[in-house]
Amino acid sequence: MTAVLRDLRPVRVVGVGLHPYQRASQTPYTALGVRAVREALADSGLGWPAVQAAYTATALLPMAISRLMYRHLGSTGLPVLQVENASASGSSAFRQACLDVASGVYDVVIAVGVDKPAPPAMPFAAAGVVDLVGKFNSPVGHFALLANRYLHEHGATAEQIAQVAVKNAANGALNPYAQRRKPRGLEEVLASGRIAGALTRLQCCPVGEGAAAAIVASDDAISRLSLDRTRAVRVVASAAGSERAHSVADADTVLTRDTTHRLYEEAGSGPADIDLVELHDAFTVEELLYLEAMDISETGDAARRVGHGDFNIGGQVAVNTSGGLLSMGHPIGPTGIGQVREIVTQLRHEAGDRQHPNARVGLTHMVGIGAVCVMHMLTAPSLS
Amino acid sequence: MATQASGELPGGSVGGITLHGEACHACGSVFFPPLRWGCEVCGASETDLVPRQLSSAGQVYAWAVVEVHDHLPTPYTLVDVVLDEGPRVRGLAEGTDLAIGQRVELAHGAATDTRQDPHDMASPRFVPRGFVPGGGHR
Repeated sequence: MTAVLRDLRPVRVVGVGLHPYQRASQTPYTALGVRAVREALADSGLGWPAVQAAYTATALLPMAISRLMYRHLGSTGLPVLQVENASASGSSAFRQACLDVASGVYDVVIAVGVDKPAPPAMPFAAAGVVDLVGKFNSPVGHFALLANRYLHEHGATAEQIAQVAVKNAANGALNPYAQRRKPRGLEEVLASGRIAGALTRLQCCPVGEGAAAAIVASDDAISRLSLDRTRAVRVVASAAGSERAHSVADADTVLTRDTTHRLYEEAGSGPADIDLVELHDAFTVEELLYLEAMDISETGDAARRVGHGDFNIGGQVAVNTSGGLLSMGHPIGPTGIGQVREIVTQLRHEAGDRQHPNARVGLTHMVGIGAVCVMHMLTAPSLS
Repeated sequence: MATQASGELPGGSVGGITLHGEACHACGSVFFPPLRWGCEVCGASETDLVPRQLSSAGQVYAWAVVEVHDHLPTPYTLVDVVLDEGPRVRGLAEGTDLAIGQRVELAHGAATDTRQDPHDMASPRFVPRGFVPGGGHR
């Protein structure tokens, strides 16, 4: 017999924390991670000994990083596990933490993402794949091809795609944890230097270092440990998937569409219920593609709507209020957990200058090389 | 504008390049590059996968000029091509001015960009169908 999250014990996020995302420095990963964990513990009111298991998301660090980091909090002997799922590593670690609490295996579990920039070891050569493009392929090249196709299919303009970066820079400027904190105008984004196809430098996310942490707990633990129920944000659905047969023309959007549909079905809700979304905008065009794949925008219409302000803070659906990968940054391991931190902060109405009014239901979405996709739906404390 | 190439082609005549693809006996799917150890559409094992020579002729699905790369000389042009025999493949293209829907096929060593290392020079690139390096269109 199988079950989805909402059939099992309720899972609530009780604490979130970050280390600011920043350019690579000499700081050891342990210092980055410990700061995010301490912030999450303080936010929850929990002590480290209450945490029963830890999942550590990283894509670029060496093996066996967990214990060397967590020992600075007191070596409690808890089970630890590294999670690697490319850009979706953090989201995947968070999902495992949620499943552990939902299933009743544990009452309090932490997901921590931490990474330092390093040249990624791509899997294709190791997999024995010999294609025509080899090392010339790259994420930005891939999404430049998707941008070229999007412009062609929908009659959109390069200026409309660039508006995603303008919006997310405005949001990132309000986020003290963001790697890019300057507001940027459309002309500035377009003139920031062409990287590939229509994509200019400010339409590509920075990959730096940082850390993010989220603690999830059962209702039993919330009662037993006297945690603040009014700030606990429920995780109502968790969905993950991987790419189907590679010959599908629009594999990226199909993967997000499939995963979103499972998420909506699991939650018993749909796109009309969503107030805010943190999604994988490593490159501007992705935000448009995924909003359409999530049925939050009609196909081909997201380019117009982003310029119209529909996805601004205070708009119909606030998208990437944190600044997204484009402005908050994309340190890889932490990114998906940083999204959870932003949605939790918004649903608690604690986001200050970047608070989206009436935030009640939020989505997180990460995709990664492979390709994989991991999504969560969270609801405000008042709803559940 | 397609770059004019010069010199003899190392790999035979233009338009003669075939791709060493693969077909699945069980479900009929056709692949490039080959999967070799099992069919991603139906899961049939390697014994059901057989070599299939594919013409490199097809249509441009999308293209983009990469202008900045950490380790590689730029610019170079990426292209996704839907082959006439079905698969969609990603490759390099000659020149920096393509069009979606344009007919293309693979040619050997057409690049004249001397910043490329010899290995990359030899890698096949998509050119407009009928393009003859050094000789314009046939």
